[in-house]
Amino acid sequence: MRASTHTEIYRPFTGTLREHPRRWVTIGVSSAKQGFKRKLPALLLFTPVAIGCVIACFRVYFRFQLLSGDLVNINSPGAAGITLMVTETLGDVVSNIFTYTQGMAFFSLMIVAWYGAGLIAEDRRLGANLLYFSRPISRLDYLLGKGAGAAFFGFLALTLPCLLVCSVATFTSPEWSFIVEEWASILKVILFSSIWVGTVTVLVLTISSLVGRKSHALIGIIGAIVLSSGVSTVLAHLFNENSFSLLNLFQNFERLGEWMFDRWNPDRKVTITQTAAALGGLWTLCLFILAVRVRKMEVVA
Amino acid sequence: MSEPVISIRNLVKCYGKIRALDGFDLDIPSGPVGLLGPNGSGKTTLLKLLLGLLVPTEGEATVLGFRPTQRRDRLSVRTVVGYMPEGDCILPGMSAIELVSTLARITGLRTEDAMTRAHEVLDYVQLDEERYRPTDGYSTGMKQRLKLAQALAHDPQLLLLDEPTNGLDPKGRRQMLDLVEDLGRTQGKNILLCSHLLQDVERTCDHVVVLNEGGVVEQGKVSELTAAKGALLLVEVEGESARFIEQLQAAGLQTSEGTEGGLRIQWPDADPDADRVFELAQQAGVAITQLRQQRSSLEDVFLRAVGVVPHATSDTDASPSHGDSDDLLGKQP
Repeated sequence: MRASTHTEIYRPFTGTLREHPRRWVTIGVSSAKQGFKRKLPALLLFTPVAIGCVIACFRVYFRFQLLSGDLVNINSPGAAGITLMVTETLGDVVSNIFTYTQGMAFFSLMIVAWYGAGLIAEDRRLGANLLYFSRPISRLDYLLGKGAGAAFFGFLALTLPCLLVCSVATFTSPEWSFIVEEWASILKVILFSSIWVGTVTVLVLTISSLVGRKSHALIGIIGAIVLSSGVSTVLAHLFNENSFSLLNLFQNFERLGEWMFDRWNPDRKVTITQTAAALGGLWTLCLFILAVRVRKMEVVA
Repeated sequence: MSEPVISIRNLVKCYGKIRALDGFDLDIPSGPVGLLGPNGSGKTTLLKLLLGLLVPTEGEATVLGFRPTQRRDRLSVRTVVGYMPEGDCILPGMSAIELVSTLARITGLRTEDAMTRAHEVLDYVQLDEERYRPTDGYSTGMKQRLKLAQALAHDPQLLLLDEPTNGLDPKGRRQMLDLVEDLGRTQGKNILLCSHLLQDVERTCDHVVVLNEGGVVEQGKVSELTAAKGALLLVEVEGESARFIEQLQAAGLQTSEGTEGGLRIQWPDADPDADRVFELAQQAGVAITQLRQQRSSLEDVFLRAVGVVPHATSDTDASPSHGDSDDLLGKQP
């Protein structure tokens, strides 16, 4: 039974529209909100990330505590040697971050894939493009919004933990030495994780735009990664040619990380230029496919 | 006539060698207007062009002062137009309230305005507590009303409704038509209603445009179109009707057998002369027991416009008409 106050009359809108609304932000926020609705996948996917982050933070914290002499009396016999050995084992902040990013690359890919796989595929299946493109949004707004939604989870999986490690290093380093002496590392961390998250997001959205269901997109993403990694390894062995490793996304990022964090292995046969070209090629291909597919979605709407 | 809401000049849209729109001029007045046409006549292409989703091959269109055919206006026009698509469409995983408020925010409403507005329009389309449920489980009727609500979210000046009663049961259809009629007639919204159901257009629209093969073949006020294309008289007689038919045909009138044994006389203009019919009956020696005028229905207008003759002129292809009847026996001399 309806309440007596219920009135089904049309009320004209008396407010005004914003002149320059950031429409892609609205799309991105709503995409991210939808992701948070399901708790179990979030728990399963983010648990390894959280564990990895805690371990990296602990190693950094422990290292600085050792160096400051709070844990061990550095003047006691043999303490200096032990401290030096342990701190070398623990590694410096940047190597901890580098190790974390390499270790979490797969998990962050899975997280972006899980949350991003359905963003375009499900829009097509359920006709959401009809609703989006009857609004004043451009194809770029739509893509940016969807990309922001997927990349947000990549940010939570990779960039945020790296920044947490940097924060721990900042607060535990003696005399703020980390931020004073290694501030550039923080920028490198942000840049490196952003490139990885951006690349994975573009790849996930591209595959999502090619299929009609989230499950198909997930299969496609895993298939593409496994296939490219497998093919590159097999071809590299068969032809004894290292340049086939350029097909492997994870190896490309390992090389990029080594280069950015000054850990480049001089024995590598593949140069950083070739790696950058491979990643640039992947971006170009993905953006081209996305542009074509989203244009089709707009016209079909 | 007031300023047209939509103005189209020599609009051409080609898909390869196919000319979906064949260069027509059209002015659509304010108020509720029906857009009719058989499949493939160019209705959907026209709607897409008006929303700026397609770029025309040639020509110009103006919608409420915006030119969706121009790059700079193709997004702006969507702030003044609300579009209710034909097919099923929802935003994945969202409830109705989230869907409407999200789309309102994308259009440019502030967050708090968008939420208030979403509740108002969902109230209006009578989606009560269901608004908090995920839309995936909605019935067809609820989805149709939700689509109308999202089209109204930013209070557009023009509504483009594509088959709003598609797939609805009689009750849902009546509810939807009530809403469309209220929006068009009471709230004074400009509506372009695209429908295959002529009764829906006839009930909700004052003006109609018929498209066929990419061109406009008929347009005007519904009342004028249904009145101006001649009239049909339904006559029942006592006596030898063959002679009466001969008399009628000699007088240049087309006749056919009615469904219940009566005669159908096609009158060439909208104002049939009942006296003349009685005169001919008298000459044929028959007595008219019933004489009714059946006005052209919108279906007749539509069929005639797309090249199908609605009223049979021979005995074999007589078909019932759906128009209204007026008893004319009062005109008997």
